[in-house]
Amino acid sequence: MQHSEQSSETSVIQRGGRKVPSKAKSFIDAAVEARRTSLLEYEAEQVAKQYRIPVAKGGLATTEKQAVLLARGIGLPVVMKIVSPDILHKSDVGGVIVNLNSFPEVRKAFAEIMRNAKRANRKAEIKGVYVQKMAPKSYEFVVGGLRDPQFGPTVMFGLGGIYVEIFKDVSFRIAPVSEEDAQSMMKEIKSSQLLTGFRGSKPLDTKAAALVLQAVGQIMFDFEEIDSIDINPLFIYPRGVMATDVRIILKKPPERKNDQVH
Amino acid sequence: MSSPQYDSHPTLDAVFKPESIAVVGASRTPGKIGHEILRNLKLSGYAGTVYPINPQAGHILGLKCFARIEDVRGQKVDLAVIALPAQLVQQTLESCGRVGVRAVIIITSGFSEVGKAEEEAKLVEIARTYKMRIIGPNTFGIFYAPSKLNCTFGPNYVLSGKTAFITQSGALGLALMSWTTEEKYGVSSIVSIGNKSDVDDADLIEYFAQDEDTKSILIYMEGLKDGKRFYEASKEAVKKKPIIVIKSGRSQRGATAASSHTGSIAGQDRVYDAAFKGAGILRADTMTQAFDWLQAINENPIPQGENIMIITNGGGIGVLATDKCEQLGLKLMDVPEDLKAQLQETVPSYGSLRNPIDLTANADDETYRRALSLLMHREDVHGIIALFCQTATIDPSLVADAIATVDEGAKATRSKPLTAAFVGGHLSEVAYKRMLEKRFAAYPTTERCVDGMYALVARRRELLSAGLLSLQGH
Repeated sequence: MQHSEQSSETSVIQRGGRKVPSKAKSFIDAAVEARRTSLLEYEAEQVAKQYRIPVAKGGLATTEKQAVLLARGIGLPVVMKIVSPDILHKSDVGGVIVNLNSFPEVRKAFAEIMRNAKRANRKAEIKGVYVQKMAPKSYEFVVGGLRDPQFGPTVMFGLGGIYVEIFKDVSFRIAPVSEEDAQSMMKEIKSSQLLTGFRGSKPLDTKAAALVLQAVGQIMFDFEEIDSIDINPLFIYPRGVMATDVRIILKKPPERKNDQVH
Repeated sequence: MSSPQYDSHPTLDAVFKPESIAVVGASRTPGKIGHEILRNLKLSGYAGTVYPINPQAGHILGLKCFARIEDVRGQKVDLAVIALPAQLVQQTLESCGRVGVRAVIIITSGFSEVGKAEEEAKLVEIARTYKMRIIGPNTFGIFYAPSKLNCTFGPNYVLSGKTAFITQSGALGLALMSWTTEEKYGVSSIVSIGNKSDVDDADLIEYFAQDEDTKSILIYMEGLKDGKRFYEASKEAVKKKPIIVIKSGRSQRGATAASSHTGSIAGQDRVYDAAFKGAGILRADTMTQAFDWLQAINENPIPQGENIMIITNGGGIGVLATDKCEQLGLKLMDVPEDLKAQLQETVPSYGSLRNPIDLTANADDETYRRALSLLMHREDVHGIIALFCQTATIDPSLVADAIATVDEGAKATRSKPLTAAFVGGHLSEVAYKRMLEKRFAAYPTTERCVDGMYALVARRRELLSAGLLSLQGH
């Protein structure tokens, strides 16, 4: 099983003698400790970054002012998303605003998102608003990881976007995924012509996409605590790829034997 | 449950090449399992010693009986077959262990398949203690052609061939024992794997991968116990021998509702599919398809490229074949000019020199012989599909013989894969089965014939991607 190249962050020795990125481990450990069943989006994206998955730059803002500062640093246009462990389907509650092209828009969006979040769930714990660089438009693909009870870590690739569960134009491979496996699974989907180029459009960077597939498999191997991973969308360009929404779902915490009733 | 548990894991030679076999629960009554197994052992020509174990009988089928397995003296029993009621199996297994039996086939059912997992686990524990391997429980036994070993209560006569067939279904497997013979599909082995309490698919894959008399492996499976080990074992074995799987249960409940897209899309069958693809296993949809593929793979060399040429005596079946080729992603080559010139002597002007080459309905065995001869010697032709539509003017068997002898000649100098179809009535059936007996991949329909060629091309692609194919071919 190959180790994907990791960032220059210090690694720690995970139980089992395997080196894993320390930052990723601390996010996951903290979530497990708090009995959460998923990482927050920006945490998941940090984990992805540690495995060299290109993720759109972003930061967490807790105030309007901070949001603008972040937007300045990241560069317009940006998207902004609510960050709350209690709000899973952000778009559905108006918790996501895209294509913000000026700082006044950023300020307005911050207020609107916070309002929408509170309206959707008054008791929700709000960590803030994630300000992220908006990725250039391209075709949207999905990369996923799951832990099959029979075969262990398994990787998924396919046509992404909001209709992914309807079209299910996806392929799977058991991890660890070689570059060859990755290339062949990308050829398998019905929409594979999007990758090879059609109607004058350029072929897309399947080599970079293959690295993402391998990295997702590696994350699943490194962290038994992870139940599944979604990267949707993964934008694939003629050169390079960009992930803009990474979700990491953790295994359900074991039932506490002595849960007290208040 | 798999070999990592053993430090010195006994090979399955005790199962397939035993020098002596004890049938515990042997019966005097024809029709009873304990009788039929003995009968099959005797009639199949097995050369080793058979010990029926039955406290009430003196002799069964001319074989001296023993009251208990411990009473067998002078020779160690390699393999014991247990056909006793479930409540007696455990103590019998103990006895087998104590006298040094190396492998046990437990025919008896009524264990994990009916929910008695603990009782089954106990059997495995006993086996581990004595370093015995268990096949089963809940199995109809095994057949292994090279040892002339028919240790089943199925049909006696089984056609010998090159495919090892592992089946998880008892009833289906038994039925197939008759079917394969009738349809002229030979097997090197049939293993009724039963509940897989000990010996599982991975163990058998590893065994047959190194078995000289087995050229391909077919598995009918319903589920796996150790998917990871199966995956690794298959990936390795596929480098040597093709593996074809029929996995039932496609329509089982799909993925459970999950909080991730990935989780909710990944149904059980899609992941099995991924495992098969990743391991280089060919997945067949039906038993017929599986054996069609095997016939092609067992009796042909791997094609040296993907250029397929079709010859036919009828335009209709030619088009059907073309459609099927397209559906399966097979490449029909263009007929080069020089070949057209050569074919002109054989093909009437109202035929066709395009691919499929239409020899017309007037074609006889000579026509086929001449056309095939030309194709066989061309390096740019990598695979040949020969189609024959039954007409009133020529006996299909003559055409079959012509095709058979042309290929034989070519095999001496250069090998080229060929699949043939004989479409028509009874005479066509006789013809294609005749070709099967002569070890050719022949079929009663165009589609199955093309499918056979597909299997060869798929095998080539798999070997290529594993880096195992030199440019000279297999």
